[in-house]
Amino acid sequence: MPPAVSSETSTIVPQQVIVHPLVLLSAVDSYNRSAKGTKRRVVGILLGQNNGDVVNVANSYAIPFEEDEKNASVWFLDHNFMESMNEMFKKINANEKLVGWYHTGPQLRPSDLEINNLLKKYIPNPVLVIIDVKPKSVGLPTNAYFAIDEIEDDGSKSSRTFVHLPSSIEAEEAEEIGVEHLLRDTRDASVGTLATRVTQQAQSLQGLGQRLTEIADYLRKVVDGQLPINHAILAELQSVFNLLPNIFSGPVVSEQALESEAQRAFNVNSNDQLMSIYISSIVRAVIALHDLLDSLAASKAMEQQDIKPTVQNGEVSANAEQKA
Amino acid sequence: MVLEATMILIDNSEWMINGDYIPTRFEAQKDTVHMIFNQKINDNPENMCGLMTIGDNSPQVLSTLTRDYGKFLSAMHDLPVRGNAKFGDGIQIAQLALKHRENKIQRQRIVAFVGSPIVEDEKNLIRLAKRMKKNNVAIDIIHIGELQNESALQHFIDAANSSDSCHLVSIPPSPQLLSDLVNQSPIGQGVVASQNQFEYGVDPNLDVELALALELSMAEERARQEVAAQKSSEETEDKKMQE
Repeated sequence: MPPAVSSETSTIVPQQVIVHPLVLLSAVDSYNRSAKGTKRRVVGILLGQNNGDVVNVANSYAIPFEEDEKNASVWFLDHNFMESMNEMFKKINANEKLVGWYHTGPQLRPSDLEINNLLKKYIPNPVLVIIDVKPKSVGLPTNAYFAIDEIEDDGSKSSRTFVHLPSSIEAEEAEEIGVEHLLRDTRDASVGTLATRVTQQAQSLQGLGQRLTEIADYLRKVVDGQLPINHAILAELQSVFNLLPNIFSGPVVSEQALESEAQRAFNVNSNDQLMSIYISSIVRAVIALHDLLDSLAASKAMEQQDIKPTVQNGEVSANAEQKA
Repeated sequence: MVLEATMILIDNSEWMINGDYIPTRFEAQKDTVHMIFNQKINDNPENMCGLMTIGDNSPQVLSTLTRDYGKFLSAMHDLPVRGNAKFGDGIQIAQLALKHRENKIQRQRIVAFVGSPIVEDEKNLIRLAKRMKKNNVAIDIIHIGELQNESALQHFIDAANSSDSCHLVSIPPSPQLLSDLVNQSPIGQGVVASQNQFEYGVDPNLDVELALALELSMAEERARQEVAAQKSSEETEDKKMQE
């Protein structure tokens, strides 16, 4: 799929933003140092590569930032500090270029567009990543945004707005090792890998449940007329439903029949699985009994051998004494 | 020799294209900004200056606190003259910039040019002035052109003033250069005033030899004046005797 282009500025909107763990670590560290326990947010610069489709955020640094909580138009960002830091980072790693900026939100703020415009002096299309340092819900702690000119249908003046971009967290091998090293004290050694896997599965299902609830809320609002119909979203949802496995065969008579058929299908499947578990447990029990009988027979044979006296060089001694 | 961090606020609203100051209000401001920057930097080797605009509908920091004249020049280059000025927001942003100064020993000062009508409510301005006073920020205002602002600005300065640290200089249009007029005002005389606290205008800690030479010269001059006074008194006595 070709990258989307905003018609006003003809800028290529990235399809995905990849954030590295180092960036998250840097943001959290900066927040804990300067804004912990306050409503303030921390702002920083993102460094990495932007190849049009994918923005790879590999590094970051915080910058001095201050704002008035009551007045959104009063904020200060030290861009001279940013310029000098960029110069120094160029000397260390020329591949890591300025790709955007981050803040610890946790939501978009009214001054974000103005800050984004300030960064346009240094880079044509900066990406904004909001890093939630205190995530309350399951899922990724990052939200990526990109500023575009939104052209109104009624022909009025175009306004600048943020569009949401899909973001993911990916790590290089060295970073993975580093993260594991950092988490070595936090991981509970008594909890096995199975428990960890089950917890992860549960969290995944919880996240999936949240997404499905969001979809249901959206569709309900569309039906009630609170939101306009968006054919692109509906097409995506249709493709999601098409990908679901078809567990019902034949015509649907009623909802009850549908439920009973589904129930029967699940029962058959679970019975098959339970049958295999049952057979395997019986086999294990039989093998265990067989091993037990074998060991009993072997021990009896050993006892009989120990009782018989053995003559060696005219001396009478038992096997047990020889062993001693 | 006051150790200061100064933010200079330029008014680049569309009112600045007026030609009642030579050559225009905006160009006159730029000359004055250069003069103030040089004065502040030469006043103390650790002084720093920053620059920001309050016009173009939104205040913008052009240069954070620096001693680099080149950075200051490049920040002032190609400034747009448009929109309306937001004086209150500009003062608040300048205060945030001063809050992030490297050397916390530096005193904080804002030098603001106001050449367009102030749209802010006077109560809000006084509240802002009190906040500046609380944060130990001194404010100098160079008021040009729109003289209907004067009472509001005077109230603002009165509210922000502590131990005569804030000044309001209203300069009506005249054939003289704005920079010269500001230089003669209390804002421009900051350097001279600070030099006058030492005898002969030289800090003996910075230049011991010069201070000593001036003292010797002064002693010689006093001796010469005493001799001259004695001679004149003797001459008058001789004249009286002759008469």
